[in-house]
Amino acid sequence: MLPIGAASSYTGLMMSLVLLPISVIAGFIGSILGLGGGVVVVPVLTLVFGVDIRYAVAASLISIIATSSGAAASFLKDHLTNVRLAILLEVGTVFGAMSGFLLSTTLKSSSLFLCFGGFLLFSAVMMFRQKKDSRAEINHPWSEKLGLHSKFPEKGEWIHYKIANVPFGLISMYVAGVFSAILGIGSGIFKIMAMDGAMKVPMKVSSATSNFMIGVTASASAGAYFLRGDIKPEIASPVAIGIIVGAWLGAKVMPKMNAASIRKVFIVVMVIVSIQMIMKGLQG
Amino acid sequence: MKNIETMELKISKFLRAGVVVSGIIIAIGWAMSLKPGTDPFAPLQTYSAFNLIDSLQMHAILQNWGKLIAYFGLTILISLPVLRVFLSVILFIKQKEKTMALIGAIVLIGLILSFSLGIEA
Repeated sequence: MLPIGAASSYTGLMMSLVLLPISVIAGFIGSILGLGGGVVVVPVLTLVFGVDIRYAVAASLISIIATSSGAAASFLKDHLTNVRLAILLEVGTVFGAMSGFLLSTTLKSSSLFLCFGGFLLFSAVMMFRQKKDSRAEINHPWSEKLGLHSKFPEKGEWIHYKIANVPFGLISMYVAGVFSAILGIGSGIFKIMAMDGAMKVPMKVSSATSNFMIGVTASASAGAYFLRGDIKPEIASPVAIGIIVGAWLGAKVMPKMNAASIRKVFIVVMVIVSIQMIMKGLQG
Repeated sequence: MKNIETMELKISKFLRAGVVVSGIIIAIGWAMSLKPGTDPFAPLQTYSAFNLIDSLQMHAILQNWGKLIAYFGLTILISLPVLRVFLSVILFIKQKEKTMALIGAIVLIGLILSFSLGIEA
């Protein structure tokens, strides 16, 4: 994989056009596997196109807003999203994103590569995890006060659930927000872990609620990067268009596809890419 | 509570339309600024601070309409989640849910503060 340092004028144009189909694939994989586009977009922009990681992170946040805002309606229609819980937890993610943006100004490129590599490796490990729902017996007082407990449809009946450990959830969301702003990711993996692990929110509800939230989280830091001038239309445009189209295609074919085998292949790819990102970080 | 879900669904459908519209605007701007003879990625291999207002002024002077249109589309896309939080707050106020409206307002203030960090930095 050669960075395009000495590209001729036509190769430059070609590379710009190539970014579009790559982003379509990123959006497609992202929507099938329930990952944000960031996991694909940042490594491609940095390792293949040789773009500075700060521009890659900023462009990736744009793709996350597009995926989240585009998919929210279908999750809501299926009654899976817990809107009240999402809005409460967004307090954590938005303030986390603010801290992450401030922190990112102090981090060197090499640290960003190392963090991203570590995050990819962690995500790959988490994708192996068996998904098992556990239910809360007692509703947390905050959940009681705000009416966060809800119900969702499964196999033709409504399943009621309570919500545990709300303060811990808020703190976890803060951390997820920090990572989102630094690495240009949706942090969906952290959000789902906190919701389904600690707060005992059913898995399907966790995924839908996380998708609902990542757009707001990403926009908090994307707005700051945008005003600072880090979101460049040269890369953000093909990435945004590609992700919108790819996510739409993914949603269309998802019911007909075997996500399990794609998941296995993608885990291997993630491990390889994470090693490359870490190597790049170590080179300084 | 049921009512809120129905209204949120309406907001989400509106946002989905917003994503499509911003995508079309970005595509038009991007297509207009594609030129042979330029390597768009070469200047982006090293980071240099150049804020949005200065970039817009530069593109306006150079009459890079494609770039300006793409920036406009990106602005819409980034604003969509802010709009969603704003509409949710209005919804909670209408339903007389004071605590939820207050929480939504805190998120909205957080978003605005976060955006402003980009101007200061």
